[in-house]
Amino acid sequence: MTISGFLESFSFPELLRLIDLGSKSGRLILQVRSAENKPQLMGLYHIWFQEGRLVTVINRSHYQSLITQIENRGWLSPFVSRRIANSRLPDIPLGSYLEEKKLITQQQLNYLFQTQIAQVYQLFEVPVGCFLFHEISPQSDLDKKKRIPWLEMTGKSIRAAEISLNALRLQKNWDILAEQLPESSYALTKLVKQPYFKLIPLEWQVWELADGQMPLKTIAGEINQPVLNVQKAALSLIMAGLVDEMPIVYSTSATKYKSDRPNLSLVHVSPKNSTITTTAENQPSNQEDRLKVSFLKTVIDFLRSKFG
Amino acid sequence: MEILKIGITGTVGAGKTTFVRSISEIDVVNTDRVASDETALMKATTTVAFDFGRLTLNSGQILHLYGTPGQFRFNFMWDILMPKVHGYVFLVDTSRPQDFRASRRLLNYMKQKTQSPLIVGLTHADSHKAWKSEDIALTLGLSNFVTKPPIIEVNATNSHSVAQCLILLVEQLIQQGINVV
Ligand SMILES: Nc1nc2c(ncn2[C@@H]2O[C@H](COP(=O)(O)OP(=O)(O)OP(=O)(O)O)[C@@H](O)[C@H]2O)c(=O)[nH]1
Ligand SMILES: [Mg+2]
Repeated sequence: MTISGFLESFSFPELLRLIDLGSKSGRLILQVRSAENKPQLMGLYHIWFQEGRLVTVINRSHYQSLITQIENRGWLSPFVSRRIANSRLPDIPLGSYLEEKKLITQQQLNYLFQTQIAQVYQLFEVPVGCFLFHEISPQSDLDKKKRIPWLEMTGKSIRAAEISLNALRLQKNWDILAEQLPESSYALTKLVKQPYFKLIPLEWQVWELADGQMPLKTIAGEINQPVLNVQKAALSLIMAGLVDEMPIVYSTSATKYKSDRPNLSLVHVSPKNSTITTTAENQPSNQEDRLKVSFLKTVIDFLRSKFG
Repeated sequence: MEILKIGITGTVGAGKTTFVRSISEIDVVNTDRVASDETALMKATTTVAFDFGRLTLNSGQILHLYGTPGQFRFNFMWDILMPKVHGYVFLVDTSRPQDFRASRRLLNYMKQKTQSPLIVGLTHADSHKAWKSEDIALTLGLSNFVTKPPIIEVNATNSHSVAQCLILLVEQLIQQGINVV
């Protein structure tokens, strides 16, 4: 089970959105081949996920093991760290193990994890690269599960979608990401009833006006913000899986359909992730436009006999 | 006269024209050339900017196929066609991840325009670059639908495969009972 491709055609935030939505586990291998004014980003990264959450980042090109990082910070004596490196540890994250043994604090682990994900935030600025995601499904054989890099894990994790949300907020250089911004003529439609991430005020304002109708430029006017800022907030919300973008069409017919067709607005709430779906006001529901089941069955028989 | 109207939609190059051509009994009214010229199209009001295909079952029963344009600049055609169809096939070229976000956007749009049942047809599934259907389903956000649409691989160049796809859609119409008396 692998997904592979190029960041040029399937962007990093889209990839994280996919891993998050699918609650995927496995290793994402990212090869950055060019990073314009950030050559230090070039190289090979292994990013591990468990059930849609990032658990560790390993920079293969500038590799330093987690235990070495801890030792270098003076949080473990070389003696202890060597003993740990040479012993067989249980299949739990190194960080959790050290914490259990009272050798490291929560705070220190948080710091280490933040350092790991800071590298991932930078990858949002990478324009070209290729990726390969090796999925480890829950049913996978133990063999594959054994390859989980426990020694590189702090025991901390973050939802893949939240990484995008954070990274896009922190983003200063929008050269690369600009082409991913939703157009100012698009509207946003909510995908969940309530955001499951903490939003910043601008994101909240945009969220609240996401009604499937109002174009981003109108939202910008409503909340007195530059359109570009609203587009950026919208991109964050999209990649976080909270809303989705939608083009709007201004046609003369649209108003007509609204007036002479029943205005059904179905709301569906799925229990798992409180997904809501609003739908559509239109269908050929005029009585004379409805079809008889017997006719539909004839169509099926016809297609089977003619093209079967 | 009983007419079943089916829409074939999807982003640019997904295989809509090919799909309609593969199964239509008449030469598909081809508007591809017209459609490449925006101005010419804007002058034509509602007539030409889609692929029209037909299958006659008998003197009183007909199947109509409407292939929409994929380009967003011809979006007014979507508005004209989609509210009239009883069901539609949403085609996705599985080998072009660069189009997945645009596919999702278009699908969001269609979902708001019509409540008619749909199925997702995956074209170019034979390509070595093809994505798996579960991943495409996730990327397109299909779980956000009231009824998660069925997904089927379809070779738009093959009439048997196209027919299988249409059969699945008609079965959905019967099952969901939407647009059905
Ligand atoms: N191998 C393969 N080729 C396909 C398939 N479906 C479509 N094609 C090819 O893909 C190309 C594009 O198909 P079209 O039917 O023109 O696409 P379209 O959706 O009508 O495109 P627009 O009208 O521009 O939006 C054609 O060369 C088809 O032969 C498929 O399932 N397999
Ligand atoms: Mg076409």
